[in-house]
Amino acid sequence: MRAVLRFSGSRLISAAITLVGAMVALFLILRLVPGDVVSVMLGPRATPELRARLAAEMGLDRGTLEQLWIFLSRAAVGDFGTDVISRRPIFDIVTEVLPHTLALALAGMGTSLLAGIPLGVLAAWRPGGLLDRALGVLSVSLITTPALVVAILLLVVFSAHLRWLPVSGAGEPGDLLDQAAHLVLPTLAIALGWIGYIARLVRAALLEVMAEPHVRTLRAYGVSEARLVRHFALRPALVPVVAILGIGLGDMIGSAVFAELIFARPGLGRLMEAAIGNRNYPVLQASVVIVVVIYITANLLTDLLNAALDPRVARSLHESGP
Amino acid sequence: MTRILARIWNGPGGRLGLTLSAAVVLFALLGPLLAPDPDLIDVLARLEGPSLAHPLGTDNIGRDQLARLALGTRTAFLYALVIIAISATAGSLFGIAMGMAGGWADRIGTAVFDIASAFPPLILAFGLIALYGSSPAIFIILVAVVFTPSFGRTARARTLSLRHQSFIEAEQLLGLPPWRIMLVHVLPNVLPAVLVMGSMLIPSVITIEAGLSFLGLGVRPPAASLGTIIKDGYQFLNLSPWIALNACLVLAAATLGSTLLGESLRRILDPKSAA
Repeated sequence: MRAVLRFSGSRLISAAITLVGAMVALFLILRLVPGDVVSVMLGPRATPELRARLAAEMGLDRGTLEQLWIFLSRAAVGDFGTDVISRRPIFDIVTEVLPHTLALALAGMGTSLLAGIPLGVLAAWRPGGLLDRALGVLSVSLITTPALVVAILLLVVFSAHLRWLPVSGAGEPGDLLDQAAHLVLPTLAIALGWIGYIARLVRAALLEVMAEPHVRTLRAYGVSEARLVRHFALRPALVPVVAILGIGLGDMIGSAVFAELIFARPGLGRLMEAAIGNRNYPVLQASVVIVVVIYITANLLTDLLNAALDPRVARSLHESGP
Repeated sequence: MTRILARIWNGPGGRLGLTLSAAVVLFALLGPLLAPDPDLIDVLARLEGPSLAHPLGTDNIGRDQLARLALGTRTAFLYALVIIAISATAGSLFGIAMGMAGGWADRIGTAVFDIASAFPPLILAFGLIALYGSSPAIFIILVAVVFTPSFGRTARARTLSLRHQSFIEAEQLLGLPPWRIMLVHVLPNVLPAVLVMGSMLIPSVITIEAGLSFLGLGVRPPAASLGTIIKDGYQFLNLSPWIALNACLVLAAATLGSTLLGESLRRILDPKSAA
């Protein structure tokens, strides 16, 4: 237990350091972009007074270190400033579209777990059998087919031939059924690869657990295979799945950004694309910070959950740790 | 080399991977010979289906699709190999140096890798290239930056396991210069893991290049990439789905082939980590 606590503490501290480091890196990345942001945003015919006012409004007239400090200290309380184009708080602009992206990423994660785990168990049922080999080929094909390709195939099938499902937009606000229908195709596009990946992971872990002495003993006592899997082997076999949930969510958010652009859905992807087009760096900065916060938190929770499920993780990291 | 190829050929996955990859590479190399100039515009033959003159039809401004597809495939492999080569080299050098140096250098390097990994890779590549990626060279370098930490971590982990082995300690006692120990004695032992990692990441790089080019951020028109061809086809999906579908097929074949090849290479070079 103490090992778990110590592990959680050190993991929490390193997550905080990484977050601050990532924000400093982001600040520098945006600072080093060639060209003067103010002239790009206002165009060549702006008067010097106008330029000075915008620069002051965006805080660009201060020193770099001061700007960095202002960015970090305000971001800590969720204040990303006011958007100079729409005059609204940037935090509101980002959090307004964030639910669309999160819903897509979580739907993708949920779908891949719901489909991937049973497929993995099925494949491990008779290792080397026909079903196992067929599922193996299926998994590899799913993993390697890029989400872009899946999205295009779905678009071709559903926009040109079948018209059961909407192919663009996010649906009427308030109409949950309509919104869910709009979620189906983008979710499939980002989740198919992870279905295959999780199926393979579960299969490998389950086979490993099924070969362990305690399972062999239970089998010798006459416990049926189905009962073995359900009550004794599946839970430890899911530990590696839990371990990749954080990375999976980050990957899903990344793919969701692309899927939003292909399926014309509102969300962070559209917001970031527009912000890059307008050179509206404060909005881009805030969007990326929020993605990074979600990603780091997801990875932290994954690690803690993993340590709680399997205390050996915490202990081994501490003994061999850097 | 031939022995490794023979062992890849002996596994079912490896055989399929080798065949698919070879087919796609051959198509990229030989395709342009079978078709007219990929930039030739034939205005009268726009969005045409397959014909003798254009075996895979034409796009919206009448360019031959077979020629463009072959060129796009060539782009995909060329970019992937160059990007992997750069990030593998940079990652191994950093990783080995960090592992051998230990102490603060190692901690700072690890922290930098952690910070780079705090951004989801697709978002990092998307943002960096949207902001800075104005030319193919910069595009290549930025994507290589995104993939460097993976190689750095692998190389560092291998180096740490080697560092206290007696042959390295003996060399240190003999007074060999550190760069010599790193390059001549550590690098060869780190290389198999890096090679395996590189072959596993080729499909990811191909996918990222196609995805960014699809968004208009990677390879710019008129140069052909699988991503730009899919983008052209995406705009005419209802009129002529074949443009996008053919490019999708080649893209999927390239990623499937290189994944299977990478996996069987891993099974051979790094049997312990193969699951």
